[in-house]
Amino acid sequence: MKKYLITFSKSLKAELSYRSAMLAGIASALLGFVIQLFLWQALLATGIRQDTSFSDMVLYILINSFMLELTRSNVATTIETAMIDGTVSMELLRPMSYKYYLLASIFGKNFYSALTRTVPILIVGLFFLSPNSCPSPVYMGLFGISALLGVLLLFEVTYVVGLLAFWIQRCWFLSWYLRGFQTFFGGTAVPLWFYPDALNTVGYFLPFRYMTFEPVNFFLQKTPLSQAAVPLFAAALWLVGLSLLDRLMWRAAMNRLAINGG
Amino acid sequence: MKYYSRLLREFFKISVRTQLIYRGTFFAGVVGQWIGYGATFATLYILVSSFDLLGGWNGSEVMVLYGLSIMSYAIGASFFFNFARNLSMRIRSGEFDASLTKPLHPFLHEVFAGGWNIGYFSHFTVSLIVIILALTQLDYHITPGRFFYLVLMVFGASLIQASALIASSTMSFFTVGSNPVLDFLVYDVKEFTNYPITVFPKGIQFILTFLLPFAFINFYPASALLGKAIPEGYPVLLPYFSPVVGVVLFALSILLWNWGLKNYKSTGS
Amino acid sequence: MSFIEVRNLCKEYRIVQTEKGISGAVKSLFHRQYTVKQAVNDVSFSLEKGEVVGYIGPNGAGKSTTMKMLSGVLIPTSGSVEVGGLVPYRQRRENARHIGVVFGQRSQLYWDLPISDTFDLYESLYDIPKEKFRKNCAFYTELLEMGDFIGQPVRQLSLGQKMKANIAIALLHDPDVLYLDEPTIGLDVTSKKVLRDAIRSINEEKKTTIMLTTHDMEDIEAVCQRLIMIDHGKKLFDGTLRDFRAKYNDGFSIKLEFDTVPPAWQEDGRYSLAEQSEQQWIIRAPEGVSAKDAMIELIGLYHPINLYVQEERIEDIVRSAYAVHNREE
Repeated sequence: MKKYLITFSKSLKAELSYRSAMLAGIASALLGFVIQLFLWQALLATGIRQDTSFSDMVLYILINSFMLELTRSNVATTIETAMIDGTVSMELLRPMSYKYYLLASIFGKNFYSALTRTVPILIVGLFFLSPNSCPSPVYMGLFGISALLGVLLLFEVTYVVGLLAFWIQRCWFLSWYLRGFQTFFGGTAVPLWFYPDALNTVGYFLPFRYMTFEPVNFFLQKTPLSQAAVPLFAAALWLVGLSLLDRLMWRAAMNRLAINGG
Repeated sequence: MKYYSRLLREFFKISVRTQLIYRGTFFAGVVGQWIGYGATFATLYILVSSFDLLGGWNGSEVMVLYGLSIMSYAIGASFFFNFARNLSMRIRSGEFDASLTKPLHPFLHEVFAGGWNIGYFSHFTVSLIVIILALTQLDYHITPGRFFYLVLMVFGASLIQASALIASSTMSFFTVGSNPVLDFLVYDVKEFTNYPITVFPKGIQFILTFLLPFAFINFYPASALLGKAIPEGYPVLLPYFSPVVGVVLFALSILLWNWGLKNYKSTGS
Repeated sequence: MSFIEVRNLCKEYRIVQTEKGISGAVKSLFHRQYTVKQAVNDVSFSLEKGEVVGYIGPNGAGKSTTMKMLSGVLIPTSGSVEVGGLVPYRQRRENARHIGVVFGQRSQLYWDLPISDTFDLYESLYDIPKEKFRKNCAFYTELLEMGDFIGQPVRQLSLGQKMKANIAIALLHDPDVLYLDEPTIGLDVTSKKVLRDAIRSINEEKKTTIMLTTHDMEDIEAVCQRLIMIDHGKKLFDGTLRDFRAKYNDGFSIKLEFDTVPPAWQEDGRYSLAEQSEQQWIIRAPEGVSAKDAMIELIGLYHPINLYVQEERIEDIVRSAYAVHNREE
């Protein structure tokens, strides 16, 4: 465990050393947030949708961006770069699991950006939240569990995609596919309750909505308690399935490396 | 002149040749970006449609607006993205110094070395399709005059997009390491152009028109095209100024870049 | 007026001081400290047309910075540079047409394309007449032994092959001067030899003036008539290789081998015992003693079975030269 903690803190430190990047990161997060606020203010001012309040949307954006920040830098590109410049063989020599090494270094990198980018917008966001925005302890707990599952799921999906780099040398484009699906089925830009029913239904059978959308839904207390188990169970199921898949892929990748060389 | 046209031919030839080496990756990337941008277009359309109007624009009109932004970015970035993105890396590695030993203006040499990025073919096609679909939806009849107008506007908008890339890359002459200003200016501030500027407060409308004139990328051209209202009190002819704004900004950004270069030459080691 | 004139050349730059650790990074957010460094400090020299000059010095001595000012990349803080009547940093493009530059392993080549494509590009970049281009392509392909790999994508080439290609493209337009910054770094022995021979032939056939920096003294011995040494931005030596040896060589070594345990060493203030193992001594003989006298004397004193006089390797001379100047500082 300790070695993963060290990896985590080293990545965090490396990120901290870029001061202009940090300031620009904060500025960019604030700006993006403000643009979203104006957008939703204009939309909600039409009065056409009564099921969503401004305060809901502020929370939605806040939580969504925090969760996305946590998985901002992409495992897929990390693996691809390591494959191309050959550092992958160095990394494989470390006495630790490559998967958890990646997990630790990615979160080290992202935890920092998640904090620096989310804290400022949280401060701005507080002005727009109503006092009853905070969910009940039960929903808070459900949110916690589902957020954890969501972040792990997001990592797992990018990891599986990243492993494809062992077969296709150049796979930067895969992150585009992923991003596209995540935007469309994951509700990262527009809450899925605005979607036509058919599209919304399709989303239940894909992993993307369990990453950030369902956690936010718990926080907003939009999921009835009677149905709370469904998204949690689905997320867990995806997680188990994907980690089985990544284990198979890993074994195949190692065989391939042993045969073809790094 | 003959020298430059020969160079230009070589530039296109070598760019296409290098990028089509990995044909499979290239096309897979095109499809990936179609999906990525397609998803963004689709969610934006779903969003605006479920509220009927955004700042006075309906779903299809917002598609034209966003489409113009992506299309002009595709054109501008195909020439200047590699240029801007690679500059700080090339300075660090010393490749930029080698540029300065070539008998060509360093600005042109860097554009040359960056190559013409044909990957933006996907942005271009997806935005073209969206614009055509949206205009059809709006029962908009394209006459030769209107077509010419559109081409001219896209040209001006592409120059604005290019200027943003060029101007922001100038930072690389002053700081080592990554170039966050590039991301901020080119991606974050430009996010305003995804929506009609009538959504934003008067102050922001002013900034986007007169200080960081990103509204000329798509808002003004589209509002003239679709007959939408511009902010109250602004000159009625303003929407037609995109090409002029583009040319002026482009020239200014090159001047700025040259100024950064001069500083680099006297402070580097 | 020489072909290349460098007078009182100076270049200083600022370095940002950063402290270690998280607290240092946080501190540097608010407050940055600079130190001014003299990269090149009052350097003067002149080169005649057709000379091959080695420019040596330890890492960070200011070699590359000088090269960059000569090639028009950087503007000097003070002093002047003139190359063939042009001021490189003022008439950069005009100067660029007459020079060829290779900065170490920083490749000018297109990674995914064969070298021949980069050649075509340089044909239009330097506006090289067709006939001259064809002739030079053939000439350099043969001289640098590039025939085997000219059609392969650059990514498949070895370091040595890439360096050959880089040198070839720097020469396609028949420049008057060739600046080579560390041309042999990281290359294997065979590639080094081909490169050295090629550099010599280029100088002989095309009368190209060549200035090269290197850490490998064999490069200097193989190709340079003249040597300029700098350290900490200051010029320390400028002259022929012979003069360099004469100036910094403080004697020579003699190796004695014994078939039994060697006798006791007799200190006499002139010879010194530099190394000693069970059956072998290495003795330093001072400057001014001839090899003949030293041999006779040492044989008489110690009766070795074998005796070798070792010529000082240039690496060792350079090392002692740096040491001499560092002591003086």
